[in-house]
Amino acid sequence: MEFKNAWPFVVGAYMGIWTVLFIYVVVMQSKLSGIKKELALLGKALERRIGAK
Amino acid sequence: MRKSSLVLASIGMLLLLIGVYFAFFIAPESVVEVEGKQIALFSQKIFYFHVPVSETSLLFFILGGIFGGLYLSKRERFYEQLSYAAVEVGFVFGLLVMVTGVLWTRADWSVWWDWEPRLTTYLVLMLTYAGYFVLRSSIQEASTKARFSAVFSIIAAVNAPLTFFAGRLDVLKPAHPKLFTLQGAAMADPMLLAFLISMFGMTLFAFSLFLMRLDLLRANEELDYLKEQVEVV
Repeated sequence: MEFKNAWPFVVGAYMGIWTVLFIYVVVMQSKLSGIKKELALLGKALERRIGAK
Repeated sequence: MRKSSLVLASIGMLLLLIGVYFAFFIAPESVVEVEGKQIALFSQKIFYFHVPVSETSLLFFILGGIFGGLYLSKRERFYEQLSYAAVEVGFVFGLLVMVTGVLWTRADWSVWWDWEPRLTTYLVLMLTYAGYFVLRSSIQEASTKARFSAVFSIIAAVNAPLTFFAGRLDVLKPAHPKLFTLQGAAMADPMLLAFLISMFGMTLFAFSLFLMRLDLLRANEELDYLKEQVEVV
């Protein structure tokens, strides 16, 4: 397919790749930061309980 | 994010950008003759990303199977995490293969889907791995989940080389061209260079995602462990 007909498919393919990969990275990073926050809170709670005993 | 995955992601991204430049501005367009008229196939540019994501997905599916086998032989949780992370990255790249493949099929063959050997075997491969995630989510007990998933990842990984060779066996009449043979690559040097840069960049980027996913799995496990400890104390 020549340029005038093919460009939407080519652009769609390239944009599709980067959109999916970007969403995957963002989801992973937000989950990781959520876990880190929860880990820090739990660590502090554990320290307090051990300290209280 | 650990430093190694950041370095891999940066190098991968840089190579992919260089690959885009080479694909669009250095590599010549593929030309076909239709009714005595020379037509430049702009849609062929999808090749420079479709094939790298495809090969990367197959690589990670195979790695998932190998790590699954290592888990079954050594029974170390780490290998189960490696296997799961590899399968998930392979599956994400597999979705990209399906999206780019469908667009390329429509552009070049004027249909959205064709029951061609490689397309069909790849669809079966993806459905098999969709089953892998269904299986994992349906088992609660951790060791049973790990064992079943490892066995499934090994069986499913067998599909990866089948998919690869389905496009190379003449008896199946594949529509996919055989670009790489023992005699070399059937394309001009600038095209090969653009492809190799994209291929290498995509592989490095996929490994950075794999390390990120592994970190996430391990952090999740630490969190569960800590929660248990808090309850005990």
